[in-house]
Amino acid sequence: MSRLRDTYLGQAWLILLLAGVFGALLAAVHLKLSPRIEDNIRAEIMREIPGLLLGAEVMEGASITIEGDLVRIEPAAGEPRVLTIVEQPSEASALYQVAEGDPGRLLGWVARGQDHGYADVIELLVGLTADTARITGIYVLNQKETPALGDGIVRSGFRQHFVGIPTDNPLTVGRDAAEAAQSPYAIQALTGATVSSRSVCKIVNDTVALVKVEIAEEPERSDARP
Amino acid sequence: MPVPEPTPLERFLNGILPENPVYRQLLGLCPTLAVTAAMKPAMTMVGATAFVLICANLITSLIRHLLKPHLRILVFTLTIATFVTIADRTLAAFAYPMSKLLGPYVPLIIVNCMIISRCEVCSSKQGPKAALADAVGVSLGFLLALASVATVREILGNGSWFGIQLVPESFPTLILMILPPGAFLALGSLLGLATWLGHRRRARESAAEAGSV
Amino acid sequence: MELFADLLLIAIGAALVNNFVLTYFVGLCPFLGVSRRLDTAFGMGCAVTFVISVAALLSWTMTEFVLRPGAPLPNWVWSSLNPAAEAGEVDLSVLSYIVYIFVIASSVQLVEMYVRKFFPPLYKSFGVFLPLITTNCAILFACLEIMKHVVARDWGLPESLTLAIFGGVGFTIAIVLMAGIREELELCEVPESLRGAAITMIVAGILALAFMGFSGIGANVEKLLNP
Repeated sequence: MSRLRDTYLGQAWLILLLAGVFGALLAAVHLKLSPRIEDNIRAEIMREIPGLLLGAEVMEGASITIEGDLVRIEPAAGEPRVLTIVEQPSEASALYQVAEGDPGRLLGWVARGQDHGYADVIELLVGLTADTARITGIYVLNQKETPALGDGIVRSGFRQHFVGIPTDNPLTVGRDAAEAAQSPYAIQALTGATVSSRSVCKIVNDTVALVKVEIAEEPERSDARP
Repeated sequence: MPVPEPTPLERFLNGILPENPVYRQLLGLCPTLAVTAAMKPAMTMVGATAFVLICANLITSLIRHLLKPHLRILVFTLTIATFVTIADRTLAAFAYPMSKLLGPYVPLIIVNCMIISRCEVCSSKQGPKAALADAVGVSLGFLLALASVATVREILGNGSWFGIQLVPESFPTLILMILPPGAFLALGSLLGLATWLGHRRRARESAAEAGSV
Repeated sequence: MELFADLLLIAIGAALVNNFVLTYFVGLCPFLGVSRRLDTAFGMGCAVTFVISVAALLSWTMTEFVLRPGAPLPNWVWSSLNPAAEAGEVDLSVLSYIVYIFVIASSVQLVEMYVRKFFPPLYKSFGVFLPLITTNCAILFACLEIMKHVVARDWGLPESLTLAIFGGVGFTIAIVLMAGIREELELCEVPESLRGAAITMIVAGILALAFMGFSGIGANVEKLLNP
C-alpha cells in the first residue's frame, strides 16, 4: 500500500501542474468566448421573433440588423420595419414583449418553452397576438428528434398548422388531415412522428397557458414602451 | 536489434490507409456511427477531432520525458479534455448551428480511443515533428473513413450529399440508414468491404511474388 | 408517486428505449472487444454498471455544488472574497470535462480497490478490464447527460442515479445479447471478409433495429403514468 502511495503521489505533481495550467487556459478561453456564445444564442432568437409576428412572407429575402433591443427589418418589398424586443420576467423559459415603431405600439408576444420530445428536449418559440387571443406561429430553437421523421417539426409545412389558432382552448393533435379538420384547435400530426408532434403541441399548450396568465396579471406591461 | 522508429513521413502515410484508425484499428467507432448521418456534421467532427489530435500529440510529445508509467493515460486524457473544451467553445462561438447539431458528441472526443492510442503509441515516444505528422496522417485516415460511411448513409438515407439533393424529393429513400441500426449496418458492410479489398491486394502481392520466384 | 413515475420512465428510457450502446453508440470498445464469451461479457457489464453508478454519484455532487452556473460553493467563496459580487455569477462549467475525467478515473480506482479487496476471484477474472473502463465513453456520456439536466435544474440525485444504474443495466443487456449471438456465430460459416468486427457490427445493427421496437413501450408507459 505504501509502495502504491509512492508511485502515485510521486507522479501526481505532473497531473496537478497540468491541471493548474489547463484550468487557467480554460478560464481564459471561457472569459473570451462566452460573451460571443451568449450573443449567438440571443441573436438567433432576435432574428426569428420578427418572422413569428410579422409573418414569413414579410421576412422572405429581408435583411435584418440587430442593435441591442432594436431589430431593423428591410423587406424585399415594402416599408422597412423597426421592432423593439424586450425580455420580460416570466416563469416560462423566456417571454419577450415586441413593440413596433416609435412610440411603440404593442405588436405581440413571443414565449420560449421546452419539454421532452421523443428523443431529447425540444425548445420552441411561440408567437402570440397582442391580446394573446391567437397564436401567430412557432419556431423550433432546439431539437434532436429522429432525422427525416421527428425532425420534420422544423419544417414550415408543420409549423404552418399553428398559425392563427385561437388560444382559448388547449390544442390537440389529429392523426391526419380529416381528424385535424374536425376542430379549430386541432393540428395535423407529422406522418410517422406522432410523439414528436404531440410533444410540440404540449409545449405550446403549457407555454401559452403560463404566459397568458402572467400577461393578464400584469396589465401595465401591455402598454408598449415609449 | 531494436526496430528503428518510423520517420515522420512514414507516420504520416501510415495513418491514412495502412493503419487507418477506423478500418484497420477499429478505434473512434463512436463518432463514426454517431455523426455520419450526413456529410456536414461528419466533416465538422473530423475538423474538431483533428484539432484536438494535433494539439494533444504536440503537447504530449513536448512533455514526453516527464511522463511516468502509471499515470500517463490520465495525463493524455487531461490534455485531450482541455482541448476538446476549447474546440467545443470555439464551435459554439463561431459556428453556432453546427455546434447545436454536434452537441453531445464533441465531449465524446475526449474518450475517442483513437487519440489516446496515438498519444500512447507515437507522441509519448517521439519528437514533435513525428507526432505532428502522425496526427495529420491519422486525421486524414479518419476523414476518409467518416466520409465513406457518411456518403453511403446520406445518399441512401436522404438522397443528398453535403445537403445537396441528388434525387428528386419524392424518390423513396432508405430512412433506416439515417437511424442507429443503419449506422451499424453501413459500418459493418464497409468494414467487410475494406477487409475484402485488403485480402485481395495481399493475395495479388503474394501471387506476384510467387510468380517472380 | 410522481417521483416513482419519473424514475420508472428514466429507467426504461436508459435501459431499453435509448440504450447506451444501440442508440447512442457509446461504450462500443468493450462492446466489440469483450463480447466473445458470455461470462466475460456479463462481468464487464456488471463492472461498467458499478463504475457508472459511483461516477454518477460523484459527478452529480460536483456538478450540483461546484460546477453549474450559480453553484453554491464557488459563489460563496467568491462573495466572501469580493463583497460587491452579484449573486450566482460564478460559472465553473468550463471545467466540467476535466473534472469528470478525474471523477471517472477515481471511480475506476475506487471500484478496483474494492473489488480486489472483497472479491479476489472476481478481480482475477476481469481485473484487466477495469482500467480500460476509464476510457469507456459510456461513463462520460452518463456524466454529461446528468450535467445537462442538473444545469437545467430538472433532475435531482435520484433521477441521475437511476439514469446511471439503468444505463449500465442496458449496456449489460446489450453486451450479453451480443455475446450469446457471437458464441452461436462461431459455429456458422461467416464469409472471410466479414469475420470479426464487420459481422459484429451487422449483428449490432439488427439488435439496434429490434431495440427500436421498445420506443412504443416508453411512450405508452408515459401515457399510463401521466394520463
